[in-house]
Amino acid sequence: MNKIWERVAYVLIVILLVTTIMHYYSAENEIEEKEAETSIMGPYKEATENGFIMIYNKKEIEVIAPQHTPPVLGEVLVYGYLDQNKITAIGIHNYNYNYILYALSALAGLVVAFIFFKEWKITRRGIIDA
Amino acid sequence: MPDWFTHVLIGLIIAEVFNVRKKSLILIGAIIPDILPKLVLLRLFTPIPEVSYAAFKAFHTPFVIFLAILLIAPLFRYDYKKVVALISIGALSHLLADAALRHFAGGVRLLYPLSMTKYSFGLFWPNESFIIMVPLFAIYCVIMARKYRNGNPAG
Repeated sequence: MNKIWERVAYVLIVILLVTTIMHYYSAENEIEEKEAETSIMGPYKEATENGFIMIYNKKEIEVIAPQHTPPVLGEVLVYGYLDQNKITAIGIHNYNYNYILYALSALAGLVVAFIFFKEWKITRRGIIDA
Repeated sequence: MPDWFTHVLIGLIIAEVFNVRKKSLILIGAIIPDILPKLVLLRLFTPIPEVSYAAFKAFHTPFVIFLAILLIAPLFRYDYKKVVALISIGALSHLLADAALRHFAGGVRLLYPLSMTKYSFGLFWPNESFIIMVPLFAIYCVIMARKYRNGNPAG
């Protein structure tokens, strides 16, 4: 009997999770549509007369901004009004040394995996105490 | 924080301070809110479809991640309540640490689904997490040194 209730509870949680994600998706998109400003982040390519060129999702984006120094080992975050492949910046921040943080994150992922496999064993019955 | 290293350090400190036997559960919790939202970082290596990734961001809220934890926990053949509690503690530490960050217009929707407000304490930019990472690493080393000195490294 308990097993049946456990399964019912599991299915109800799945339904609640899916419904919540759908609600979040529409609420977030609604907010994004209302907001005129957006943020994009990517590598700095080169300076131009009106600002600089950055790469976002492998595409070149022209940033209209005052002269700006390129980031060191990282990316540039631009907050502003995006129109096609051009963004008029109202805020810029250099994510200096961000690539180092990405490398450290990968290292941390390995640490978690190491500790996980020291403590647990994955079997067909589930994850059991090692 | 953008880096899991800081999140993992926070998780390790919590696990050591409270002598948690299954440290990996807290550590899983400490990185789990980022797993889906950070998939967009694939754009660094390859172009990704320009669609809304809002559904992934939902996992960066306490309510949604808690529901996900309730579903993941039965995979562990261990005390269900303990698994849920430990992963949740890790996840909460992650979301609170992220709320400390500064953004142009960002933050963590801590009260979703009650409110869509983003909370940000604006202490430092995500790329400045070295400011907290170094002291946390020192704290962790001190805790481990004390445990070794007392002959109880496993906690």
